[in-house]
Amino acid sequence: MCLSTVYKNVMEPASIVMKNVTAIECRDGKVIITDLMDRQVEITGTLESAHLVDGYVIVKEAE
Amino acid sequence: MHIHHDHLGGAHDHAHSHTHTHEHTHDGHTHSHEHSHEHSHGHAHPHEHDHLHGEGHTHDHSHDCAGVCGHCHTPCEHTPMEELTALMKYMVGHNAAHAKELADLAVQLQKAGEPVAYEQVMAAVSDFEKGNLRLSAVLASLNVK
Repeated sequence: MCLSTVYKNVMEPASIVMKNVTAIECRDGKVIITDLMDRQVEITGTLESAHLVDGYVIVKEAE
Repeated sequence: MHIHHDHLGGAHDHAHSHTHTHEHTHDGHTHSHEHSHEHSHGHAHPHEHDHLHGEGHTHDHSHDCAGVCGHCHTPCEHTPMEELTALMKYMVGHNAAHAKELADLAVQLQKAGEPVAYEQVMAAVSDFEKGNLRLSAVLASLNVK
């Protein structure tokens, strides 16, 4: 319900992929992230963890 | 990582066509085909971008829009002020939803035999709604500008 921040690999400011995230979809080995303004970012990898109370998600990028 | 945006500014109306490739599964077998269609857009600022469709493919095309995602079937670039306004709008709606959740929680407390807690939570809901009303007024003033 709340907006989240998505990080790549580690939760640190330099790893922020997108803020105000409204939707995350995992498809065909990719994680597709959408923000409040309907912008999308696509990362090849997997969803590692989602911490919904704290509003952050970590995506593991494929090597 | 790919960001599916690349917008160009300017001001003109136009029509365009683009070709999609769709992959379908029918009765256990899969095939793909291409088709194209033409359409025009009738609003304010044109731009070009490629974006990801739900079907999992991308394409480039141009169109013009008013910078409001709800009016546009593709995502757009926005000014910082537009983003702040969108965030405010989201927060006002979000707070209203939370106020309702708290009111529901209060009712549960009342049913559980906690009338004082019910009254206190409902008082908190009222305060919360007053604050959200103030935010709503700010949002309205931002939308007027």
